[in-house]
Amino acid sequence: MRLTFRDRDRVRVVEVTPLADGRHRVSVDGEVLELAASRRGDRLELSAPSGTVPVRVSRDGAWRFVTVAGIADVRLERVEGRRAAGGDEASPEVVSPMPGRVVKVLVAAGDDVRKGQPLVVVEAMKTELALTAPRDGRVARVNAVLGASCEAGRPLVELAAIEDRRPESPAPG
Amino acid sequence: MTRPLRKVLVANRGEIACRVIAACRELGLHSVAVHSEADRDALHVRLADEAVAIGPAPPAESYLDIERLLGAARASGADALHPGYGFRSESPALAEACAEAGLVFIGPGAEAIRRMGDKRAARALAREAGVAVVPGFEGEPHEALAAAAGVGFPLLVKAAMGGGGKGMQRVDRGEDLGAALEAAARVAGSAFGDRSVYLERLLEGARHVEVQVLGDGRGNALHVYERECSLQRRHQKVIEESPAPGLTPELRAALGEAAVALARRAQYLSAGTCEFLLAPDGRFFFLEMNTRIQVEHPVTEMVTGVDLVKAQLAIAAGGALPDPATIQPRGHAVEARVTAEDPLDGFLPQAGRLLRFELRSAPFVRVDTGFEAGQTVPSDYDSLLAKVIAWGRDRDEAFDRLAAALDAAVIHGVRTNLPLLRHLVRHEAVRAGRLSTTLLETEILPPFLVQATAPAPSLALAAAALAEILLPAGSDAGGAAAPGTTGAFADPFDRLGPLRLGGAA
Repeated sequence: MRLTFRDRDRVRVVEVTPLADGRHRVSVDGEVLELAASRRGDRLELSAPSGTVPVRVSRDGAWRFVTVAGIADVRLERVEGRRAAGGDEASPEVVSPMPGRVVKVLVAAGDDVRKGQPLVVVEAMKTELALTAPRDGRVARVNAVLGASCEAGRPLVELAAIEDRRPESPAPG
Repeated sequence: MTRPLRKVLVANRGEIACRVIAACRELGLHSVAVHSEADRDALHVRLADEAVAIGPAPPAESYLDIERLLGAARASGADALHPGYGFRSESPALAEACAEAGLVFIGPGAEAIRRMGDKRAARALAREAGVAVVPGFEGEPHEALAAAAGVGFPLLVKAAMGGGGKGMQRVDRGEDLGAALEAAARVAGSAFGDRSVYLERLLEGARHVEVQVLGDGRGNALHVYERECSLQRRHQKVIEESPAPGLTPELRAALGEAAVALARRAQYLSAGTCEFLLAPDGRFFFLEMNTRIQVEHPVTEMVTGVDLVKAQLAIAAGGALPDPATIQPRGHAVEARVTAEDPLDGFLPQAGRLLRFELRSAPFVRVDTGFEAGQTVPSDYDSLLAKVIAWGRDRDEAFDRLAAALDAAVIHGVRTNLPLLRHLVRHEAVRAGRLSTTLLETEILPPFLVQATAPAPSLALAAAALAEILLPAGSDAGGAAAPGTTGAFADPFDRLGPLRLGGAA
């Protein structure tokens, strides 16, 4: 079985082949581990020839929180192989990476924006975060409402490509 | 003069509200929690004897709103108010409003809060008490240029009414001072409503050492020893310990005496903290005084056995101060602040549901928290999730116990600073006690961030993949589809619970 995860900005591919006695051959990006996996209460226990290690895994949508005692404490994203492969294109949507409150809306629909230009400022836990344009484009839609709360992952601004762009002219507004 | 308290309104949230409620319970006092809409199901609400809703999630409309806090006190019949830390704890207006409403404010009076809140006045008080202050200048801005040479470079321009390092400007050369004064005043004006600034010499390589004091408001005061809080990021403490490592007995005694002199001079009431900068040459200088319970108060409690919140409540009721002769520090204690911040993403605050929250106490390990698994970390408040405090007979034992506790901690659902904390408590310079306020940011953090952005270990990927396979699709309780349940990788038999016995399911 082949599974794909996003590990921050990396795509990691895991192949699992069941063997006898609850053992599995697990290949991670080509590195092969042979592990016995068993459930113990709410934890997974992995045994390698070098020893046994308790593991905690939690799921939230596509997110996988994985703690391997003393070895790793990471958040991974389960992704489909196809999406993972083609995922380098900058998304036309600008989403808040954290839940918070919209404290500034700096653009309106129809504005031309440059890559890196701040579009919306979100505040959470006394920290302000400016969300910037992932690429040059034209603002197709502004979903952010000043003063309103926003969820993580909700698109606040949607960009469209600029069709008849004159490269020499400065962006209006 | 004693004035027995009966019912205490806890005007705060999170772990400190839980801490105050615990002290009330121990003293047989009724506790009243207040909560915003975001905190309806919070732990402090469930621990208190009563709870009063005080408004929507934004702090300005709930925890910061003095009218609503006093309204909750009236509605519940409370006779005292404990402000905790943060929010309105250092607001003279709250202390004043309590006095007018006939409520006992658990802390110093409005006058002391106002005086210490103005860093220039606090420095003047320290000088009156014969305590050295960091060389500086508190005069008019137009004289600052001339005074700067006397203060010496590098120096800091600081907000007089400020705190938390906000608006602070470092100046290395005279020609940069004008711009720094203007920038600091602008930030001070918008953040604290007062553009006043002052100059302070920047002492390079200094440590942050603070002394806990208790006063009875009539000129009697004692100290409860010191805390070392040099491990900071952006002026926010990350690891604190007591005693401060490597002090001579003479230096330690001198710090305590300076703090007591200051507290006596101020006729200080309740618990407070005198912060000092300790220069590499062993000289120390008063920085400022915090007029509230501190986040890091447990390390003092662990080494001295003094329950500082109980002491606050006893003093507020007119009780006597502890006898200093009975306070004998023993061993070493160290605290780590576990926050919902991702060090690898610029310490961006994280909010979300806690799928797992396993922070267990152990022998000589104390956990102070306001959260439980299944609860949501709101985005409206600060990012502190828990404090883990370990005690040991010596510094190594305390740090080893803290390291083991942090290793065993599992928090899923939000990203945390646990990886950084685990790194810190093992770091060679930290373990050697080679501390300074810039150590974390300049020496420890950059290599940590490089190391931590390495790919996740293969074992973690293998674990994630095996979990996908061993847990049948659809049986997972996590995700938005099942609100109120945790998404832990749970054994289905565990989750069946008592239904299995009845056989009816």
